[in-house]
Amino acid sequence: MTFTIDSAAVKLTDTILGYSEQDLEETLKTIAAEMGVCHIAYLRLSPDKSADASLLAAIVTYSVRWQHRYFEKQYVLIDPVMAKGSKAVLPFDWEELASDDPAIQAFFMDALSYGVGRNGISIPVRNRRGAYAVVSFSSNHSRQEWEEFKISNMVKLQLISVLIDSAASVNLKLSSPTVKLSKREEQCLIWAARGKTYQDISDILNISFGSVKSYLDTARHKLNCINLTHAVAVAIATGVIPQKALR
Amino acid sequence: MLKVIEGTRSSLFPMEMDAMFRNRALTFSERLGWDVIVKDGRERDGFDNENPLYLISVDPYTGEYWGSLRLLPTTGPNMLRDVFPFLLGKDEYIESATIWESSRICAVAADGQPERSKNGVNLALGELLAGIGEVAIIAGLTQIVSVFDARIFRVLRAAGCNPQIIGKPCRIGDTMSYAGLFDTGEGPLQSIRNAVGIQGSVLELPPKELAAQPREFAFAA
Repeated sequence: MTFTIDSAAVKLTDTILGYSEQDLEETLKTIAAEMGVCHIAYLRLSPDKSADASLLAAIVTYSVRWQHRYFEKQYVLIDPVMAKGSKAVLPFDWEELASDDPAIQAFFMDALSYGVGRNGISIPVRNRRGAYAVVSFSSNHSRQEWEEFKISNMVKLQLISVLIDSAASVNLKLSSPTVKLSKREEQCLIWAARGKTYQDISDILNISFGSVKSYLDTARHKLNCINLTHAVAVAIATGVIPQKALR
Repeated sequence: MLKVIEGTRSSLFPMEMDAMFRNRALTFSERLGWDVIVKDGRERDGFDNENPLYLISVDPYTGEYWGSLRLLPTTGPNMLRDVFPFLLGKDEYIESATIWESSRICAVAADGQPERSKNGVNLALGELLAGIGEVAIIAGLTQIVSVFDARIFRVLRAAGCNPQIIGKPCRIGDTMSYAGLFDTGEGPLQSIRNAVGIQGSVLELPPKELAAQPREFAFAA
């Protein structure tokens, strides 16, 4: 029922230091297998947002089929781990989250049929900058085995969770801006993000109205967005426009 | 009996929270003369906004407030790191997923005070320390760190916590202040329970949000 964390600690430290070639998701799969659990899920959450807006990033070992289904069914609005994860301080067993709400019952049932596992525990993590994350471990142990697993391994679960948080922070930073905007496109987008109209931007940059429109259009296409508002939001969220450019 | 209250759920416990903030003002500002901010007779600081975990001791029959403390993970904002870093030496710091910080431990004084346990520790303080021991096991902690004065150091020792002073004690205002660590786990919990004469759990955990029966059904596969 117990496992050693040495191997997991080495793998995660390698990711943190940038020595690991392996994708963090693959690393988590290996660690899950060594720990004897089905899955590990890392969610970075924003504590002040409603459930549908609180998920900032996720690295999970669940099947792609389950991830698609989760998205399609908008389970983010139902999943009680999301709701509790950004508020909790103590680790919580998923059993505490089951409720009379038929939607939540159906969600857990569906998750089980997609191989998420019959037991789960989520460990809230706080990091230096005060960010919130929650790391979940799920398994198919019997209830009694699961209780024993938790009692003998809680310290290790805490240690692994904080390492996963560090590894994910490194990992997410490395993989952020993949879109490359031209200088003009970037300038126009930054001014748009600062609340300026096409005409304002044309005056500020001393280029024609038509040019502003066409730079913003190409920027929008590069970001794969349907309108300018969308493009500004995505550009800032992914770091294509640095946040400090807004000041 | 201890209520275990996460900061984000504190609005569900208005009476307990208010009694705690009032007693903190009485204890730390009026009685001990610490340099803390008191507004409307209540003492709060920025760490109360960082979603701490509160343990609040209440009379098991009337629910009346007896005492409280605050726990913060040392991986996030905490007092030793952000307010008292000078208590530790250069290049010394405490930051671990398995060490949480305890602060603002206090209990009601004088006639509201319940009987003392066998070694002279206020019953509410003893209960709070036993509560830390239990929470530490639930959360998978190995140690608790705290900044305390000589008075609390004596309480910790008398309550079987066996605190180890780390860094260098410093005078803050009129008070000699220490940073200390004590171990948690089954063994240390038992030694606290023995010292303060408490048997079994002191925690009243939040009610499970749901009875076991629907979930048994959900997970019957």
